[in-house]
Amino acid sequence: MRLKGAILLILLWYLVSAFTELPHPHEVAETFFILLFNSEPVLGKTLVQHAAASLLRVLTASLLAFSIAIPLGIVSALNRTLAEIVTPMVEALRPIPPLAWIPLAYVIFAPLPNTVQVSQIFIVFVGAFFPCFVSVFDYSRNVPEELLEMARVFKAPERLILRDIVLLHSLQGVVSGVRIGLGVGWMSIIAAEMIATSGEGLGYFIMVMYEVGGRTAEIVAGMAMIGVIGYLMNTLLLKAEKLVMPWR
Amino acid sequence: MALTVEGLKKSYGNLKVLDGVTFSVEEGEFVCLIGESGCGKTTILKIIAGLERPDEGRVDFKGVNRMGFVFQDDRLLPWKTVYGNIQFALKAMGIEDGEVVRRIIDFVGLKGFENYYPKQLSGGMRQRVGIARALAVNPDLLLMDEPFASLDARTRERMQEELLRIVGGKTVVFVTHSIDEAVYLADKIVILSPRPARVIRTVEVSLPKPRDRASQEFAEFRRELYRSFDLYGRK
Repeated sequence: MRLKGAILLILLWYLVSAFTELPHPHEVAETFFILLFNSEPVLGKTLVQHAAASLLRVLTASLLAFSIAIPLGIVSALNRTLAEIVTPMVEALRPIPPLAWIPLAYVIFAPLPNTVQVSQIFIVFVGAFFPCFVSVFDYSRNVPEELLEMARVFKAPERLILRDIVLLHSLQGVVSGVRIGLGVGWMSIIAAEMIATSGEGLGYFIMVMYEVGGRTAEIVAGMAMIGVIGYLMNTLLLKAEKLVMPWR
Repeated sequence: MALTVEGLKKSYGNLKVLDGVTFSVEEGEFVCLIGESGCGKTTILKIIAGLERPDEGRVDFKGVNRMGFVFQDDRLLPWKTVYGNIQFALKAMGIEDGEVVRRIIDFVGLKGFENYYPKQLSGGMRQRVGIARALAVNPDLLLMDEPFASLDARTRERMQEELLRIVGGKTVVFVTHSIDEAVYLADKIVILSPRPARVIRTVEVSLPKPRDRASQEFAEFRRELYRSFDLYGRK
């Protein structure tokens, strides 16, 4: 079934290529495999190098976002006063797509020597933070009442309830929050790289390939790389989920 | 007398659930509370366990320091193994003794399943873990809320047989809506009216244990109990 889908996609691709500027699949495949490990002359970097640069930015910013979102999510879920302060702030900022922050970020961080990097980290941070926070907050807040009642019957002290029930239930929220957050972060970095001169990165590569004269095979090869990495990240994290939570 | 329940009344808003429930439990006695679904049986257990307060009435204990509770739904922690779930009850008491956990696991027939997660177990096995968890605290009073209601008929009968062996000699209050189950397990049956619950009748079950479900005496006892229900229904 999967194979049939892939074949159909490639046939459709050829069909569209026949009538538009879209390069043919075999051209893209050729460019993709050449550029994977051979430098593309304009920027002097391979696709793998560009991907690594983007990935590094995403991981840095996401880790930063998660290290705040996870504890904040859990603590806000347990503390009503904090929840009343944090929730409206999150609800106000969350609907703004991270991409909408791009122009403002470049202006705000302009006084800094490394404006571009800081802005990109900031944008990915925004992208990764909210989905992670919401997921952790929701799970931590909705610990099944039946389990808490069970704990009360056995006269479990608060500390044990927190450790053996609340935190372990929140773990599901942490795990999906990290996966969704990284996904959004990955989309955000590509967009952020397109706006400014980043030197390297998949978004920057695609934009430059466009600016030097619409080199569509390179552009689509870059897009393919984005897809491959996004897919790999998701698959790896799903596998990690099974390791972290063997009971599911 | 291990436990005396006297004149319990409880309403949720306008819904009257308990209307003066009175009964007593001797030490070492297996008492079944029997009544229709939704008649307030669970509420009585929750009041005994201290999870809810009655509007009126009182519960007196004598020689009861620890209570074990077995729930209808197993209420196991999905992220803990069989071992971890049983250990939870001990940790709640501040005891970290692996030997007790292992002994209980053996006792309820879960040997070899220590490291299984609840999801990997059948319904009957999960209830065994629930019973083991309640027994781990070495309770003076064991409260059981329709623990076998969701099991298939065969598993259910086997669990009833084993339960008598497992809890032998403990004071038990066991809630059920099955007359058969009550006649098989109980030393004393407390028959409750439909909501709001009141005690219609208290019956001592004199049949010797283990009981033979196919025997004449068993059948007669059952018929007798059905009649108690019917009489009430006609009023």
